[in-house]
Amino acid sequence: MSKWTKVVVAALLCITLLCGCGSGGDTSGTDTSKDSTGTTQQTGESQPADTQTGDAASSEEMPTLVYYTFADRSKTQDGEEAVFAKLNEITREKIGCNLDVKFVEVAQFEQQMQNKLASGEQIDLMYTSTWLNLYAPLVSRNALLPLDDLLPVYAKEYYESIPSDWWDCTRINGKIYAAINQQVFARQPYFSYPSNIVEEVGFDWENATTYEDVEDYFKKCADAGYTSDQYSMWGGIDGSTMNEYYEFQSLGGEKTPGVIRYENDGKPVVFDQYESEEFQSYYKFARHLYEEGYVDPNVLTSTLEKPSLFRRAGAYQPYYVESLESGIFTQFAYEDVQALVKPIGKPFITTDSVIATMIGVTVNSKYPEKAVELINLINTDKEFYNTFVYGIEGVDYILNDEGKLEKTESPKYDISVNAWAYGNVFNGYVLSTDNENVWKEQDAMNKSAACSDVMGFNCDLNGVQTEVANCTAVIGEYEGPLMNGLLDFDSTYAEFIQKLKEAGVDTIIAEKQAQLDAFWEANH
Amino acid sequence: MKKKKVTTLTVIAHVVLFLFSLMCLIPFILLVSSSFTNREELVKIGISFFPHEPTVSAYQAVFEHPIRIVRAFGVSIFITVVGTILNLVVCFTAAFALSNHNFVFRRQVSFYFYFTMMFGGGIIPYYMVCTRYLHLSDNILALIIPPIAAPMTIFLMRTYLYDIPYTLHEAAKIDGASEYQVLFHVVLPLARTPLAIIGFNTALGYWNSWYEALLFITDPKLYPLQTLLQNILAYVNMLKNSRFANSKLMENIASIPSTSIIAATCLIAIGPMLLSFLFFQKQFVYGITNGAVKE
Repeated sequence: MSKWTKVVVAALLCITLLCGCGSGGDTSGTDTSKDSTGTTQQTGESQPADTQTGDAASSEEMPTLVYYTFADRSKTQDGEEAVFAKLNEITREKIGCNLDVKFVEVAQFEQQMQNKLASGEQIDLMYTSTWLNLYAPLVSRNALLPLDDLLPVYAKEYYESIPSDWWDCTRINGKIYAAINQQVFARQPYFSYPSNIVEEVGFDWENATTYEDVEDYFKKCADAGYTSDQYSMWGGIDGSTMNEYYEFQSLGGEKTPGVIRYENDGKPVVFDQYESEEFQSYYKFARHLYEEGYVDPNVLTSTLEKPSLFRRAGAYQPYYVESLESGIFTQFAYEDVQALVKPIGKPFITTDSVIATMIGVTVNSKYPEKAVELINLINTDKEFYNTFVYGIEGVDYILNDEGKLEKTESPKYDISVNAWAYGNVFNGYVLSTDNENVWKEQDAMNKSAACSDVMGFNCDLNGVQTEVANCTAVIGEYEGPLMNGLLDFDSTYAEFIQKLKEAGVDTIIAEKQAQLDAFWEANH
Repeated sequence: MKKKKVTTLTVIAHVVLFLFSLMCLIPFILLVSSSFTNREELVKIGISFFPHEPTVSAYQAVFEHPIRIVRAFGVSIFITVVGTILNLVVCFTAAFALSNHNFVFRRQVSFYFYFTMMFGGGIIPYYMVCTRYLHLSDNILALIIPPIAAPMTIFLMRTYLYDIPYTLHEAAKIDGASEYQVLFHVVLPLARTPLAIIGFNTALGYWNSWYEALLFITDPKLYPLQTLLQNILAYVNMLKNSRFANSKLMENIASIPSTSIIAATCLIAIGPMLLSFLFFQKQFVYGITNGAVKE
């Protein structure tokens, strides 16, 4: 008996070993072979996905580029096959390769990319940014290829369309590791008002450029019988919006203490914005507004429900945001109420806003040159970009008489919510609800925006993480109430600053200043 | 009936355990309550133990587009049922072999299993084995096969099977039973309790598993429930924190799930396991004490 067991066990072990070797031997490169479970990824055209053998065996066969990016798959899966087929038609004709687009959910993206990169799977192009699949760590792990030599050759048109200042933002140790997706980089502070109320109360909105000027609007509204929740300042006012209002540049996170101001000799100095005279005077002003009854007492809790704020009482509040983006002027219309928008200050661009969405070529790429050609195509070819983002005309969208885009009732494929993640948004169709010059205006705004003098500086706060966490907690506690006048300035402000000091605000400022000085020395 | 003595120690123990169970229970109650609270109340008052105006609108919203969720339910149920059965077959037979005195190499094989409990290859090799050699990416088997032979389960089972007197095996064999007949007609009926407990634990593991799907699944048709939930939440967070918030997004933000919908979805996800626990509870408590004491 025991002999038999031995033999059987030995035999089984041998079989398992052999099986392992066998399947390992013949498919060592790709993972796309087993699709029997009905995945929709492989379109008819992109079927020759077995590129491993393809490029070695017959050079005339077209290479297939694998492009990983994120999308909400529930919005794409029904239409993917048709869209990818059309994209492949374009890539075959224009750059002579097949394209295998792989959409991964945001939640899975980083983890899957890490594993695929580490296991050597083919990834030619990959989404990277400052918020998902983080750019700097990827570069320090040597996961991305430097593109300095490839871009001017294989993506000339695209490379030249981007100002060199912006390219500098992507440079790490002097090299470009990813290609920028053009979108609205510039931030433009502004006030907006609901047109119906402004007309009724007769407010001179075009000449109101400061918060002090806006007080007149509140007064008139209150006199006309509106309640504070119908006209008061939107509750989203916090440190980051105030930084932009006062033209302070944030470093390493909007809500961390320590922003830049320039000294007389042009050198940037880091200081604590919460202690600045500007912030103090705003806190006092906010308290004044509150005491006059111009602030909605629920202002802080209502921030959670942004959309309903726009809709409340068929009107909006004077509203201040950090950016003036895609058609936001016209889109602020709800229930026949137009928004009146008054930009204040100048638009400006920072490093983080430029590198917020990019595509990199990975070290696992089989065809880096082709991949860079594809980057060029994504960013310069309107047909390709629009198919990628909006799908197929007649199925997922239609173009109306003015050439503007209207989505069909139930599009099978639509990732336009994330249009900024895939290429140059200025190549996109204009939505039927948007102004037809929207892209031109925004492009102009980008080009006219003032670039930060410390473009390309990336602040690394890992060394002072504890202090940052402590300060963030203190700021979270006091900032909102102070900014909106809910707390009494005289009795609480000193306490706020005291707690910030205890939380280590000075350490953060010193750390930021030291890093900035080093950067400044190296670049000036 | 023997009356138990109440000592200070038991009082303290009871108080501590009571507080601990409260700590476990309160978040759960808040979850249930917030799933029945409407949006405005959540914003204005926050989560409370009893909603002032209970509403099922969150559940209506979840099931408004049911295909995704129903499909994910289907996937989760499939992997739980099939995975648990396969897992029990593999682990039970392995444990039987290891508990069998006739098996000469049982110490070596035990060590082989034990070794994998102590040392793993890490994520990357694991990922490579699954995708390259087993071709499990975007395959429902990826959710079933990797955890199928759990050494922990095998050892638990083996320990239990040791307790079945070996004389029973011998008696059966004297009556002419083969090894298989011993397994199915002698050992299996005696091992029902551990099978139920281990089965329940395994089922729980399969139902709650999300990591395998995170690694291997990109086809939305194959998302188990947990992955679907995670994806929805991550997407919502992305939209909320997005610095690119533009006009198109504003429209979408209005349609993203509020806290109560998230709570409702969570409850729907844990519901089936909660119910089945109630049924298994008796077996469960009995079985754990049973395995704990060994004489």
